[in-house]
Amino acid sequence: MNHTDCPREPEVLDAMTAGRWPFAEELHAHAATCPVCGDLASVAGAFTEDMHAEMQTVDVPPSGLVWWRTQRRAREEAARTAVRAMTFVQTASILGAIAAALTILGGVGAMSKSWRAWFANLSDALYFGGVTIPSWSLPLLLAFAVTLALAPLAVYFAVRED
Amino acid sequence: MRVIVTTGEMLSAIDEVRSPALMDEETFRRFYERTARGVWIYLSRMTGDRHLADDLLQETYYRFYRAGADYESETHRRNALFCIATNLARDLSRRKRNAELVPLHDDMPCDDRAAAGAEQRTDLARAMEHLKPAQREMLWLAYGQGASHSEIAQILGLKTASIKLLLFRARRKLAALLRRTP
Repeated sequence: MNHTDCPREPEVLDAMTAGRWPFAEELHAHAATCPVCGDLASVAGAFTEDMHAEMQTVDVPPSGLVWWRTQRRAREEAARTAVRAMTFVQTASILGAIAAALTILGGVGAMSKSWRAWFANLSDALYFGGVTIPSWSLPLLLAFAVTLALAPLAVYFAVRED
Repeated sequence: MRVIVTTGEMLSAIDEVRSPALMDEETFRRFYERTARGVWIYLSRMTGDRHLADDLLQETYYRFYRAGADYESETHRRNALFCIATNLARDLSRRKRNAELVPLHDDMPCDDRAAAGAEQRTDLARAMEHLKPAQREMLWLAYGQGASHSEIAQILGLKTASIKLLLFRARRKLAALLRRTP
């Protein structure tokens, strides 16, 4: 036996949990001289008494009520998840449609002279650090910018709780 | 050869539904009736509030059901329940920013028929106030629920090898407190 251990601990614990402790005189005598078993008997006895008394009086919510609430919450959560996914898909579709529309518009526009001129002017206006953006890429850039601007909104609608 | 089957084993065999998500109402009811009282008492002692224990009990079973994990046996399911209950009680404690001691005896029942028992329970509650939350959890699981060292380690997220010493220290401290309690 060392300071933290006693080979008779399981016996003491068994006697406690099985309700044999009051009649286990030999174990009582051992616990009186063994600090490890003495502490174990004292603590396990208090817990056993407490659990026994509480088990007689405790009144837990009925299982039917807990089951019903569990089912309801699970259904609500599933519905929320489904709505969230649908919102995400809808928002992504709208964004895609806008981007496609802008690209088509840009493509068609780029065909016409006036549009080409307009984009050329805009391209001149967008002169970054010595690099001129080619006019044909502007519709794509615009579509990309719109998508970027709307993406946070899409994410917000997708992840918000209700 | 005679094979002795205990009631618990029979019930476990009947309720051999590995995943809570596959439980029907009747299976859930049987599982709940076997486990709910123990979980409730644990939550009640960890939070010090019987009404809160009611709410946390329902939350525990909801999370258990929602997790839908596969459990090998009744013991694993029971451990998972206590693990969820422990986390809920800890979260609550963190939310309350109650790093000090949680009052455990505020709402203790006073039953005249069991005056001596109630006295001892009050002593236990008073002494438990002086322990760290982790020590309370460990002692309740070990001596209130009869959990083994490996089960306690699994529930509390500790190493099995460390449980013996930690439990010994907590037990020694509680025994000293119980001796000092008038």
